[in-house]
Amino acid sequence: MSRGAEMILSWLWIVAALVAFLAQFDSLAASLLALVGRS
Amino acid sequence: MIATATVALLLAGALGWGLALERWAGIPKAAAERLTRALILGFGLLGWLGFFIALGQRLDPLTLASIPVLGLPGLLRLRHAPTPRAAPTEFGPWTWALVAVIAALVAGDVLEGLSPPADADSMAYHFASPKLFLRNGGLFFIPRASDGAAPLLPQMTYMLALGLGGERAMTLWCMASGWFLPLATFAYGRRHLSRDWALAAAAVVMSLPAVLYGAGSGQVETRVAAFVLVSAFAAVDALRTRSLRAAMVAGLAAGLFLAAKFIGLLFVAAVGLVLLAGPGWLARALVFAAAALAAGSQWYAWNWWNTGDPVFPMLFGLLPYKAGVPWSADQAEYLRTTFFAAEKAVPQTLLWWLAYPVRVLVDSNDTFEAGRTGLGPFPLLAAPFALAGAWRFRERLKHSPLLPLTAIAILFYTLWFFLGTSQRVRFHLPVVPLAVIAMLAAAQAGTRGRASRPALVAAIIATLGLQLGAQGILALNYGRRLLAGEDRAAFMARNLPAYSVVTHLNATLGRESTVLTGQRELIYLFDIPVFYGHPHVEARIDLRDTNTDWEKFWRQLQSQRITHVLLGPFPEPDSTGAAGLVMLTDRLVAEKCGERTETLETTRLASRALRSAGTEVPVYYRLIRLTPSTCPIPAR
Repeated sequence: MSRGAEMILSWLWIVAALVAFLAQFDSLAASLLALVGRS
Repeated sequence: MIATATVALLLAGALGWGLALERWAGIPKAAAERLTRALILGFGLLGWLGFFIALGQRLDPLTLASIPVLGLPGLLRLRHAPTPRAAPTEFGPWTWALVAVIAALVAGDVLEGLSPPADADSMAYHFASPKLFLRNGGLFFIPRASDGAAPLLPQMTYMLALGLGGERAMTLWCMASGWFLPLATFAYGRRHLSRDWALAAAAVVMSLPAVLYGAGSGQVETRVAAFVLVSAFAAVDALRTRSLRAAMVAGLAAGLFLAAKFIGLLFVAAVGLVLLAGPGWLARALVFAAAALAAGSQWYAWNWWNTGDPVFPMLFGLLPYKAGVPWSADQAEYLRTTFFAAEKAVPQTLLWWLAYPVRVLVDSNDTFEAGRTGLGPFPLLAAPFALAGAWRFRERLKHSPLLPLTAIAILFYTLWFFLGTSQRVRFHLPVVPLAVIAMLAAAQAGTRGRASRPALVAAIIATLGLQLGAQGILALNYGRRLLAGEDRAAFMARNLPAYSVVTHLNATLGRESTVLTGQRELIYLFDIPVFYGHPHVEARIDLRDTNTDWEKFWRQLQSQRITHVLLGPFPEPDSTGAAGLVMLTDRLVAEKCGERTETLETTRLASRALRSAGTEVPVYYRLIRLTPSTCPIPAR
C-alpha cells in the first residue's frame, strides 16, 4: 500500500469510528445541550 | 484529618505488606513495577486479613488498626530500592501533555473522594456490607444471591477504612485504591512501551468510562483489574523463565480476584490454561493453583460452610444444601429465567462471540450499559492499527510476551461470554487494561515510521479528549458540592431521592424496629435494622410476582422480625401494585395486619451527573406499620 493510501485510509477510519461511537449518545448530547443551556 | 491519616496508614500498610510478600516471593523487577506490584498485592493482603478478623468477630479499632500497622516493617525494604531500568530522560511536550491529562483526572477523582458516597451498588452492598459487619462486630452470612453471599475481599479493606477513619476515609481509600490500576498500566506497560506511550496507556485506562464510573465508588472491577495485570504479567514471567516463584505470584494475584468476584473463577481458569503451555507445565500449574486457592478460597469456604454451596446459590440442585438454607427450586428457576435472562441482550452464539466486542462499543443499550460505564472509543479507534502491527510483525508474534497476555484476555472473555450471567460491558473491565497495553504495543510498533502514525496519535488525543470531558461532567456533581459548601446531608438529599425518607425513619423509629425495603441503595443509609427484600435474589421473604399468598408473606415478615414496610417510590401517593411487595403489603393493610402511618414526598433525579430541566419529578413513599394485634393470622 502506498503511503498516501495508508494515510487516507487511516484517517477515514478514525472519522468513521468516531462517528459510529458518538452516534449512540444522542440522548446524552441532548442532556449536555440542556446543561449548557441552563448554565 | 483522621480520614487522611487512615488512608495514609492503609497505603503504607499495603505497601509494607506487599514489599514483605515480594521479598518472600523473591522476584526482582524494575523499580516502578516492583513498587506498584507491592502496593496491589498489599492491598489484597489487607482485604485477605480483614476477612479473618471479621470472621473472628474482632472488629474493634485496635484489631482493625493492627492489620495495616503490622505491614509497616515491610517498608524497610524500600532501603533496597532497585536500580532504575534507564536514566531518566527530559520530559518532552507529549510527556507534559499526558501528565496534565492525568493530573486533571486525578483532580476529578479527588473531588469524588472528598464527597459522600452516592453510587447505588455501593450503597447496596460495597459500602453497606462493611457497615453492617462493623455494627455487628463481625462477619455474618447474608443469604442473598449475587451481592449478599458474594466474595468481598476489596470490601474488607473498605471495612478497615470505615472502621478506623469513618465514611470520608472510606471514600478517600476508594479514590486511592482506584489509582492502582493506572499505576500498574504504566508500570507494566513500560515492558513494551516507551515512557510517553505507557503514560498514554495509563491515561486511556484511567479515563475509561467504566473506570470513571467505578474507581472512586465501591465497585470492585477497577481494583480487580490491577490484580489481573499483576497476575498476567507474572504468568508471562513464569512461562518465559520457568520460574515457579512467578507462577506463585500469578496465582496469588489471580486468587485475590477470586476473593473479590465470582467471575474470578473464570480468570483463574484462563491463566491456568495459558500456564499449561510449554515444558514444566505440571509444576507451574500446581503452584499457580495452590497460590490461587490460598489467596482466594476463603469466601467460597464461608459460603459452603453456611449453605453447602461455595458459590451460593449457583449450584442449587447439584450439591446437597444444608437444612434451612433459604433457597428453593422455584426460586432458582425464577432467578435464571428473570434476573439472568434480563442481563443478556444477544444470544450466546459463536457469531455473537465475535460481534459482541464491536457491538458494545457502539451500542449503549440498557443491558450492556456501554454508554456511561463502557470502554470509550479507544478499542474501536485503535483496533485496525493493532491488527496491522500484529500482521507486520507476525513472524515475531509466536515468541512475543504479548501473546500469552492476549490469550489470557481472550480466554477470560470467551469463558465469561459463554458461561457468564450478565452481558454488562463493565464486567469485562478486569482484562481491558491487558488489551489496551497489547493493542498500544502492537499499534505503535506497526505504525512506526509509517504514514498511519499521525492517525493513531489522533485516536489517542480524541479518546483522551472525550474521556476527559466525561470526567468533567462527573466531577461537576462533586465540584458543585464543594463550591456551594454543601454538607453531607444536602449532598445525599440531592443525589439519593429517598435520603430524607430514611433519615426520617432513623430519627423516628427505634433500634427495636426492622424496616423491609425493596430499594437496595437505601441499605447503607439505615442506622436502624433493615431488611432488603428482592424477588430474584432473596428467598427469606418471597416477593416474586407469582406469590399471591399474603398469609405466607405475613409469616415470613414475622420470622424476620419486620415491624415496618417502606413502599415506593411511587408517582402518586396512593399508587398501587399488581404484584410483589406493594400488592402483598396492600393486602396486609386490607386484612388489618398493617396500617399506613406516613406518606413521605421527595424528588427523583434522572441522572446524578446530568441534571437538565424537567429531570426532577416528585415521588412518594409509604410507611406501613405491621399490627400483629389486629391481624387475623394467629402468632406462631
